[in-house]
Amino acid sequence: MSATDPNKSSPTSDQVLIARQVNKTFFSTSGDKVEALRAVDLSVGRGEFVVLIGPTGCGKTTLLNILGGLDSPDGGEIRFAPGFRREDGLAYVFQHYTLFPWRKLLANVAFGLQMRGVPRRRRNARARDLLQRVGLADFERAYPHELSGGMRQRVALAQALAVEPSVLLMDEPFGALDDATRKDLQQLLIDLWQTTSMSVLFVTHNIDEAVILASRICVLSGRPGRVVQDIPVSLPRPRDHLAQPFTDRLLIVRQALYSDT
Amino acid sequence: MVPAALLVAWFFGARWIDQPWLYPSPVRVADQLAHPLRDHFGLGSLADNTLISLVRVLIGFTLAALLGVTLGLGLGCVSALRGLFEPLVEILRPLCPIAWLPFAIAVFKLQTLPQLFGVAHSRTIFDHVQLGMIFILFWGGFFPIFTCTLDGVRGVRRNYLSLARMLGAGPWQRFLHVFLPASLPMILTGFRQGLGLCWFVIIAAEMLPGSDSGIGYLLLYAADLCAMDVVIASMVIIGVIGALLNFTMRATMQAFLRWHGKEI
Repeated sequence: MSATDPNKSSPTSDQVLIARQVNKTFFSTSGDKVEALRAVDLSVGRGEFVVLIGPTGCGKTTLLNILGGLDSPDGGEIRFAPGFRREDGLAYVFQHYTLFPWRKLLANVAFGLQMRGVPRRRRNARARDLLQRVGLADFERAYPHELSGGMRQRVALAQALAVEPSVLLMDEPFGALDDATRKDLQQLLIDLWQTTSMSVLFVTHNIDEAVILASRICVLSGRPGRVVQDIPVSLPRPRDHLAQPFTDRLLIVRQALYSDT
Repeated sequence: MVPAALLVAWFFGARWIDQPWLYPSPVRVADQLAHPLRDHFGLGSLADNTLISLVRVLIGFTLAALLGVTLGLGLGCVSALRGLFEPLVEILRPLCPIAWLPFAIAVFKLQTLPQLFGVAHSRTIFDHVQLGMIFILFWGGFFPIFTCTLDGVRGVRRNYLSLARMLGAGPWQRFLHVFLPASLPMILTGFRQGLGLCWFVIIAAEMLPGSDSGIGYLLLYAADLCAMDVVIASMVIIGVIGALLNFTMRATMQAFLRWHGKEI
């Protein structure tokens, strides 16, 4: 395969992550072949906020898991910027089970640093600082089950940021939240993203959420998932979701989503 | 209310039948319980024999816990080992621990724990701890602990493992910081079941050949001498100790695991 050509597949200096021609096929329990991804090309720039949007079951999560190294592709390749290592460059926020129920919040946030051998005092100081930044300074001794869903995702965000990732993968992290909480968390995420140089790759099936957050939107087709359109969103922040340019973008994304199916 | 009513019925029933060697009055049983240090038939007191049984149980249980947890964790994490051991486990599990008795006596004779370390008579309570008893108790405690641990490890949500992996945890760290804490509730449940079963088994084992002490032995010995007040006093003690063991384990579990049953 020509994908090994270094000139074509190596990320340029402003790209942290490139996926080329990624394929993935599953076999269901009844033995049926399910093609989840077909020849997916995707790149994430340094400091970019990329939103992956697509219909349910289009392989968004599969793609994210492959990029995160939790799953392996059947074909194609994943490339990272030079010097980037998955083990310490990536963080992942899941939709569910994002925290360890047996750890108090402080220990949850400090988990990644503990795995990296950071001494207790330093990692706790850093975790405290992050809990404060997500607005949960008073809850460091609470257990996850004592929190609401929105608060848990705040902690999950702090937990992921603690390891200072260059790329943050997020799989519908706000999908299970009510509207008001979701809006709060979107704002918090944007604030945190703007204070760091990290890139975010964010999966959602909510068009409004995509346009609120993204600096670029990748639209995936229905199964098998392919990237059908790349839509840059250069609207100034904070974004007014009632203004004309915003609603124009919504329409473009909606058209891209529905023209395919 | 119900216990009080039963007690009254027992009191009048015993008086009406008037065969105290078979149906003693609750007053006589209470008198035995009120004097736990009174010697019976040269075998020692209720307290002495209860303590002997308890020490046996705790040693057997500890051994079962060590091996049960180790093997449960090992087989839970390494699926290749699981296939190797599964048939053996399935055959040994339904085997009543008491069925091991002849084998235990054949192998260990009447050797005691101090004798294992070359001390003929340590003049401590451990002189009453026969290796055969420990062996039988081990089989009583092992399977609940092993099975619960195995189920606990296999029930760990993959999401927690993925999360740990994404946060940089290597295989050993995932074992220590995810498998172990996530299966701890099941391990402690296994301990509770295992300890209960050990207490069950020791009473039976003490009634069988090769035994010379313990609350189960005292119970049967007293029965042969028609000392039913001692028999019933022993039964009361066995029941109360069993309940206390269970209660202690449950309290430990609740103290340890504030998050348990509240997985998110």
